[in-house]
Amino acid sequence: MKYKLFSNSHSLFVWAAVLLFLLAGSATAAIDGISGTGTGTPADPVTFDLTVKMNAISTADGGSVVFWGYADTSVPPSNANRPQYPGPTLIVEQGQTVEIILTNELELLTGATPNVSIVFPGQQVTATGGVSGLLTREAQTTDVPGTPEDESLVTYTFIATNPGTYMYHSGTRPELQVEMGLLGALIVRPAGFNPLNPTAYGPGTEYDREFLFLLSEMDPLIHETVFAYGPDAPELMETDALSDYFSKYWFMNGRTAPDNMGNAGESAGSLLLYQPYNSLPRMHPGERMLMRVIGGNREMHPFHHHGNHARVIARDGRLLDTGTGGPLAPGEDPDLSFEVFTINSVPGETVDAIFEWTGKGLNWDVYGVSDDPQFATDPPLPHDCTDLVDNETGVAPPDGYGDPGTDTPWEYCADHLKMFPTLLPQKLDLAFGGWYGGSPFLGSMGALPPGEGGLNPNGGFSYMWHSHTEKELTNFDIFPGGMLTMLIIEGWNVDID
Amino acid sequence: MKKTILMHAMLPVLAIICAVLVASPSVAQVFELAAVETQWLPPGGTADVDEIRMWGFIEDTGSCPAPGSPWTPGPVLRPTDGSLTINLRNCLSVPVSIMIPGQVATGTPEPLTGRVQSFTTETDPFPATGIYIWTGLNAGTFIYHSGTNPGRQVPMGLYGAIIVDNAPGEAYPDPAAGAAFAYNNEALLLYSEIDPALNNDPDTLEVARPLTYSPKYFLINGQPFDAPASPVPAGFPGARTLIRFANIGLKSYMPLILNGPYMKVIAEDGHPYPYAKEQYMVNLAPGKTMDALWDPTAQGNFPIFDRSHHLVSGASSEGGMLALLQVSCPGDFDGDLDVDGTDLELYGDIFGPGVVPALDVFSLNFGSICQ
Amino acid sequence: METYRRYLLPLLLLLVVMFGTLPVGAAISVQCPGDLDGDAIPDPVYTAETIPDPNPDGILVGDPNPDFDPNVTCMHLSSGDGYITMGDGRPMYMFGFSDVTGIPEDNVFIDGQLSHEFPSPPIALREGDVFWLTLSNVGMVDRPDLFDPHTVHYHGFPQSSNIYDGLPESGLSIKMGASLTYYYLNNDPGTYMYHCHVEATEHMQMGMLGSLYVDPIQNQTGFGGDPNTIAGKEGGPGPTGYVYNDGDGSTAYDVEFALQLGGFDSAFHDASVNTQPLPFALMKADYPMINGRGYPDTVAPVGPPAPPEARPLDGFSTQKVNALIEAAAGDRVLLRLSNLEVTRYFTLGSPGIPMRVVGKDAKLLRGPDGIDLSYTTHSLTFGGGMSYDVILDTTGMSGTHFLYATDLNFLVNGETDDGIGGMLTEIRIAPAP
Repeated sequence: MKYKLFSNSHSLFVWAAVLLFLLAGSATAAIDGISGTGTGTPADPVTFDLTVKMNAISTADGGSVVFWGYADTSVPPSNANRPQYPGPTLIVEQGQTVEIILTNELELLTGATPNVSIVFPGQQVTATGGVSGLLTREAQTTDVPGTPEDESLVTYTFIATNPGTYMYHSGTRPELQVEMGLLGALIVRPAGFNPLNPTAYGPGTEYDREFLFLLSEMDPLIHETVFAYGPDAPELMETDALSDYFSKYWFMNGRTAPDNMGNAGESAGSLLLYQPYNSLPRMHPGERMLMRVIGGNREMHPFHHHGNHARVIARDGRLLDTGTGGPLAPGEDPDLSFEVFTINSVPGETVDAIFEWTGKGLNWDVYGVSDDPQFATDPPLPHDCTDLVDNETGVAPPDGYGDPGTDTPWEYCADHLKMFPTLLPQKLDLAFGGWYGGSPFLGSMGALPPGEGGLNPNGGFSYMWHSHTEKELTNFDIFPGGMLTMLIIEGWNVDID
Repeated sequence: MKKTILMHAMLPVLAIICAVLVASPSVAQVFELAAVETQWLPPGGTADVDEIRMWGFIEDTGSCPAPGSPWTPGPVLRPTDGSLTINLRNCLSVPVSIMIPGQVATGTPEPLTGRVQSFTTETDPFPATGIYIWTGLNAGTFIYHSGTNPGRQVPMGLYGAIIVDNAPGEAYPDPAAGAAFAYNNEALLLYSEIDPALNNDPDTLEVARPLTYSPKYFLINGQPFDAPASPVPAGFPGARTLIRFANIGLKSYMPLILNGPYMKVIAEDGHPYPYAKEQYMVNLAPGKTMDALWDPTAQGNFPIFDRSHHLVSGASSEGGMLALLQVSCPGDFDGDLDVDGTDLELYGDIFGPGVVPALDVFSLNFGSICQ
Repeated sequence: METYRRYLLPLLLLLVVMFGTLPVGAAISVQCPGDLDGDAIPDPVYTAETIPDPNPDGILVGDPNPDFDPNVTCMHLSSGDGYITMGDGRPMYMFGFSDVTGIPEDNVFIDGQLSHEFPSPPIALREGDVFWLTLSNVGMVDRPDLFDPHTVHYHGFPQSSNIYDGLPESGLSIKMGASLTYYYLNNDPGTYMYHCHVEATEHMQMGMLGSLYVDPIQNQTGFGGDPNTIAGKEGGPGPTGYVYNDGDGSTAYDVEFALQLGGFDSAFHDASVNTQPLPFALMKADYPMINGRGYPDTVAPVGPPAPPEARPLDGFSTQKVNALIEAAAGDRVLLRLSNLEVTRYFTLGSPGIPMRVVGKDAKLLRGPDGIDLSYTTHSLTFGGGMSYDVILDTTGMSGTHFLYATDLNFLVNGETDDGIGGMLTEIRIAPAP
């Protein structure tokens, strides 16, 4: 049976939002998150206030799943005190003392009041308050009668000694609570981080744009059973869902596709208030994208990024570098880094990778030849490939790529004016994707049959970035969905900042 | 338990091997093993009702024991002269065998005709015996397990760990001729699982299958976590611990250490990496072994839990693959993370009055952490 | 249902015969520079059949074809449905590709139907060659209600363009009865893979998956300026080949095998052939395979006979690639390994022979400054879309060794077959010559 794409009104709404988003240009090229209060000294630590609450998230098949989330309850809050999936992305700087104050407001309909907690793999954490748990100190629910005030509040303190990508999650019955939604990302900027010249780990790890890919999954059966019977009821263990885990929803940054390609924050609409983050990577040719890939829940995912290899530069917040040979020179890669076309995301592990694309070596001009007879009805604009300088240094000698500020920065000039090699079939014989602009050339559009295309209004090159466990490209039996997003590489004339 | 503490506490700083959690003493180069019928009682289970049928390797006593003794993983084998002989007594009604991935047995494997049933030479059912010989052993951490009908016999429990050191206190030869792979203390973590429905299936030839295999118990060194758990001795602050990971489950597990320093993962399947990998967790595929150096700097019980969250145990919502790596000071005989008069008394109990040890462990200097 | 299907093919043939051609506008059409007769094989010289008519330039039989380019490789793939035989003998409906290179254009629509294979035909390319791949969609004969288009995604192609990426959501896919030609200049050697990306969860589960690799230019040039290092594959005196342009011969090999892990969910395939809703959420692989077969078929020289519903191109089997590894003691054995199964990871173990991993995801395992990152292991874990290049050193070895899923519950063919099966193959080492 075939499920037609975009057939229900929920999806149409989201697609409209995507279109508006792409036309308007996105926010900054940095990751959405919160930076807490405080300067980061031991006397004035960077402080976050998180509270665990329950609500429901939305999946793109029209489903709704009860979840437990960390809410940013700082003053002022970043998401109206709502619990969110994933939890707020915490962004701090290397060397800062960080303090997270956790409050527990879980009140289940069954009367259960489970403890919650946070663990921070990769950090050395001191926990005070609350009650003792197996992995760390835990916060009891505030309304447990007779509980002294301080057993409902836990303070976790650590020094962010090393830059990198990390995560945090519940340390109380993780197989249940992380599944329920208690997970989030932690980003530590290198000391002296300058947002105008950002690096991941200092010199040698410069990038132009960064995107978070927090991958996770859910089995709604667990959520329904917990909601109906409570987390300690025998019914939950009888499902075998925790020992023989079988996921049915897959998320990027807390949303299933295509919801993850809508706007971030409240402008995504009322169905996504508890899922504030999106995943809509965009870049220009020649830019460096930093991919922060995190395995959020308990399954591995092979993250395949169409378009080019990515260079893995760090794992678990540690640069893949021998540390010998002195400090890295600008642009020099960590010397133990390696390239992949599919990033293996392991639960609990974090991977940092750099992705770049120019179309080098395709042997035809990706911007098109303006008098190519095959495209006479939708000719691409003429352009020059002007290469006088090295794009990294700004001075001679030329590096083979179009210079900044010219028609086509980072165009591979050796392929300039080479004709498109094949004859495309007539349109009646073709099916078109929503992200096809109607032209094979970057930055050009072409006529399409009515109703086709439309999601790529600037004629960029679009690539699906997705889990290569293709079963995970569904939302509980509905294809497409799940763990996928589209990277759009836009011509330099398109403002994406 | 006292014996374990004794062996732990007797370690001087330099190069002596720590015993592993499984309480079996080092044995000679020829190992006498038997494959026997056993059973395993899950925690909280009722005796004579809830036992799960298991098969296991045990030290051969000369004859086949009565079925029903409690199952454990096979004894940890530790050959030291580069060769290994196992005399195997088969007490089971099915053929069995022993293979060690990463070590090649002597004797030319027969060219096959037809469909294989064993990945190595079989030993016929009871009362047959078999001999398995390996020479030119490779250094590292390995698993021995049945190579016969492995889709049934491995989940039944026919496995154990085998450790081959390059030299005492040295895991691998180091091409740079430095001491990079030397270690002071050692911890072995053997991961495995039990599917009661498969093991209790009376058809002894039936195997684990993709749609029906469903383990309910998740074990480290043959036990699920059961509070209060015995911690795994994992060295002293300021000394180097080698953590040997081995996974003989049919699923992947991902041990993650909380609150401790990162591991330097140096090898897998008995082969050192070109460069150590600095990670707080490792990804153990089915059949995988990994070796990691860990340099704790503080006393404490450090949780190491499976980050793919196999943390339940049958009908119990707690259990599974969680262990506590205990870092304590030498001389801490009672494991309470404090070296004091109680330990001195225990010291006297163990060695007897008037016995003076070769090293005075109480005076070793580990900085401000240990006196 | 059976009766309906039995009449469908003759009905379609009748339509074609009556109307002489395919539905209006559709055309099976090959694009291949230097190909004079539309069979996707470049023609170096003119033959009697390929001399144009009229012939204003006076071309003679045997004249060289000016459009012939030795650096051009062409291939014509058909896509659609078919049947294979599982390791327990069970027939299974599937979708796939088959290699119709050499078949005249006008015959492809008919010859291609129900010919499709698992795995899809392996594609072997050379660095520096341009690959012209024509994909023709011959329809789903046994699911006439389906009008699915198809694509080819050359998985991992570096610096890929949008138009030739084969991703339907971002570009083009080809409808029934027509052809789409892809163009790739192969700049980067390594082990890749290919698959259809249309409705990926469904089409990939159904079997549109195959191996693809690119030999390095070092095979042709040798290294260090030494002509004795030119590869045997290119007629030279050196080793059979190199995996990458290593510059030092460290990825040399003597024998080469491409193994692709896969698996079918029989419930999904049955639902497909019976026109039932497809159980995406319940998808699980119960027939694990290497190169499209479950042991012991993995080591059989010839594939199992195709079910009677299939129309294999060779008249016998739709599973043409085995997974048997054979070498002489001392051979360096290259395994080009990939996984395209759509539901889970597998770990492939070689307990008896160490695996030296020299490449990963079509890149030599070397840091950017030249640090050697190759390593040795006894098992590799594959998610979908991952590849590894492994060299086995068989010096001093003999007999039969095994390469199999250490996920031991995948050593079966389905739920009822007795005996070891599934994701297992043998490495047979003969005495050194």
